Amino acid sequence: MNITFNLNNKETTVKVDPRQTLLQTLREDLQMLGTKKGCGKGECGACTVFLDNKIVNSCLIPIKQVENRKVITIEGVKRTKYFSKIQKAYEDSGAVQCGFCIPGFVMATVDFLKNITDKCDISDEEIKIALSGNLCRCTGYIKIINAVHTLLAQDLEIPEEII
Amino acid sequence: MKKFNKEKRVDAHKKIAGEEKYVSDLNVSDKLIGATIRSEYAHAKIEEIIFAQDFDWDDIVIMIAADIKNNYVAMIEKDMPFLAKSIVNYIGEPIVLLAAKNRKKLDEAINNIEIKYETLEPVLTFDEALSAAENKDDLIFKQMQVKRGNFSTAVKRANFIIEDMVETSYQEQAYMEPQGVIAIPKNNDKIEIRGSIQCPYYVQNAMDQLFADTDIKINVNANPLGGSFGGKEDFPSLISGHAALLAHKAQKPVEIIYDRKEDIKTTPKRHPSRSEFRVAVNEEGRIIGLEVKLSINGGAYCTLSPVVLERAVLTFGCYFIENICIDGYALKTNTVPNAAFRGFGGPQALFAAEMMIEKIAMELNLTPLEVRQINMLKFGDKLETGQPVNYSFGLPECLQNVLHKSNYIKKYKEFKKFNIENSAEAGYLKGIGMSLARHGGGFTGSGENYMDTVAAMELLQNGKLKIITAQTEMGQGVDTAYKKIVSDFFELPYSQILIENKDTSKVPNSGPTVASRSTMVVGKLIVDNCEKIKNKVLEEQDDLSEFTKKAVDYYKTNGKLKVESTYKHPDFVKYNEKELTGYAYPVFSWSANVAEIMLNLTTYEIEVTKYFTSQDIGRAINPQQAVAQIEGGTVQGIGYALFENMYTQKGQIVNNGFIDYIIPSIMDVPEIEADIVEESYFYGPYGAKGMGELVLVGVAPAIASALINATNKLTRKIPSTPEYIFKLLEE
Repeated sequence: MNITFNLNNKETTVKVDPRQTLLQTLREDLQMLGTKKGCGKGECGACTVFLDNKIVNSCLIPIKQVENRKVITIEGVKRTKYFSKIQKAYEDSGAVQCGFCIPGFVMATVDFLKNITDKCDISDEEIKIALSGNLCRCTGYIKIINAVHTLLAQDLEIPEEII
Repeated sequence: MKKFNKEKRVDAHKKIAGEEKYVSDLNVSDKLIGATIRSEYAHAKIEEIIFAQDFDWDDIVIMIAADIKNNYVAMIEKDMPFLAKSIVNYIGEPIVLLAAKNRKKLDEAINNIEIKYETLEPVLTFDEALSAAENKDDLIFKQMQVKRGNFSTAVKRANFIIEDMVETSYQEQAYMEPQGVIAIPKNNDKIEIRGSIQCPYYVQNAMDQLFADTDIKINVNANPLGGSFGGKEDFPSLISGHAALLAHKAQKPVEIIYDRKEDIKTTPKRHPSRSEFRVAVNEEGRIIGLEVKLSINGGAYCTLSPVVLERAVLTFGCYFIENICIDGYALKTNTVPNAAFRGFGGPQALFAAEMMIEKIAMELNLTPLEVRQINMLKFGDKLETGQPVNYSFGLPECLQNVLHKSNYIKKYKEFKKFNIENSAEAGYLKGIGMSLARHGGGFTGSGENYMDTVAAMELLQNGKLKIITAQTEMGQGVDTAYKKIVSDFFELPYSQILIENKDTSKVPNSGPTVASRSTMVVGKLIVDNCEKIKNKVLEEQDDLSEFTKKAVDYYKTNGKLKVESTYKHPDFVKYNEKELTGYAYPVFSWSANVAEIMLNLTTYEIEVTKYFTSQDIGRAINPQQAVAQIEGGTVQGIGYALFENMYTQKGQIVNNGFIDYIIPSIMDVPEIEADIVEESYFYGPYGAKGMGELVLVGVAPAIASALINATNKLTRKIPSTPEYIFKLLEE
């Protein structure tokens, strides 16, 4: 059946099995390949996207549930002004190794930075909780936490609508 | 030259934007999806494979063992078939391959195949394997012995004879990107393999043998890998064969990408191990003799088990032991074949060696540090193989650093006091522990000399340089390290340096991306190639400031310039592989580690609160990414020590994914203080030696040592789960 939703601010219609996942639709039907599949069971966070401005594991969302809603993927986020700062913070901190989990971490980082009201005196613990839905096997997470600290010091403006 | 951040990884920018192309992002048109039908039994005879008659098989490509002429995966032995023919040897062994246009069609086909078996008696556990191996040699893949001196004379001189047994469990590599390849047929006589492949020439060799006596030419192109840790060293040869066979039959591209459950249940893991030791100690606590029986569970097929075992028996601690005999066994069982994982036998041996030290300390009423200090290798000492430790030996400095930073000596006493006086009230025990570790760089023994590793470099028209090796980027940062080596040599920006795709039709065989060898061995060849190009272009002058201009001129006058270098060990590095004597490795990297833990007395959960490590890796090519490796390896080691709990029931791996195979999350990360000791290795590039595996091998024993400080009981098993600790404290 046809499903219509807003993808990265663009009205998108796909003809799909309504039971298939949002992840599958993004990757297989729309060739939006920046969102990765690490487990397919909502355990690793590699497929994190925004659904109506909240982060979700796209591998757990049947595409029918996405009808007439708004999805933002890494392809949308990377076009924003603030993304280059996130990119630089991750790069400079040395937070990337194999990189397979990183687009998911970027989405969780955006969500954290958007929702935090007072950016002063944020502890490691608060950052950890915010990113705890994402697994990484390479880095040991420390340089990712450092990247987020760098971003907290920069006062990024992330709009309510993400992009 | 304009200054730029040379530590910044060359691949990070696009990875952060989701633009890196892993195998599942290749988007090959008109491809089929491949699937594997697997054995449900650990040991059985295949009686019949029944394809339902009322199903329409027209659009399904099918392969069974009978379709494959050279039905073996070329590795050390040729024992593992691409598809089981008459006997299956583990649950999950491939029997039938299918390919179809989409997953739905494939699932329908799978439901229309029935396999009939006659079950046979399996060998599943260590106990079964060890007792079966006593009567049947064919249940041992490899047996080897490292020996020096005479244990029985040491026993006569000893004041104490101490015995125990420790075990380590499986560890799953748990790379975030599952295994996957795609085989693309071209013009009937060519197949291109692309995939998440750690060692493209291993796959090339396996494919050449699979398609021997045919006109089919294969090339293997390794994509950037979404992690590997050894897990994609040997296994891609099997899965590439599957995809290639299906693609050749269908004459269409065939993609096989495992889902997480299939990956976790059927691909190789770190070998479970059992070490039984008997150690002869004098009254001061000096080890005068040691006898070890170290066994690893190889699973159903040989894969890399003999070389994993060899590294294990050659990595038994950082101590001088005059009389030593280590017997190693790689056992065959009816379980998933095990193979490479970061450390490659080292973690198992070092856990046993460090628990031996802890046991001696307990028996003699010495501190674990005292026993380590009494027995630790000194500069000039000879290892069990006779190899002297007389260069690039930073272990004493590592130990000094880590003791100083962690304040180990003071805390060791304080924690003991706290545990006696305050733990009941506080509800937890505190522990501080330590470990010493080593890892040999490069292949074991003569491996590097047999390999004839070749790396190339080309000067391009615009004066740019292209690095040409088969070393794959799996997250460890090899592309960045290589660019930095060349950049440092010529004082060039990274934009002037290119890296060739890891495609076997374009790069020479510079050996597999394993064994902490890529920087040390292949990196040296890159320096050699730089020298050769410099000598041609600058004609022995040393002024590099006009290199690019002169390189462009050189190209105009002389045309293309491509140089190659071949690796050989330093002359004195000789190894007797029958006797296991001589230089097992051209150099070792060393580490000293301290872990602090808290053990909750209600839940028995263990939290690593602090981790201090000092690592001698020779010259650090990229200090930032070296520390990143240490942090990543430490956290992977914490999982190995405490909660990565994988086991089998009736031969079946019980774990299904990250919900029941718990790898460390961001919540499990302690404060890590890492420092690097740069004891230069004269033969490595700018003095570098191996580090990618060293970072993991010392972690579990340091945590186990901290548990002993907390519980006063020997930690005999990793992972030390809450259930295990509960039982230990109830004893």
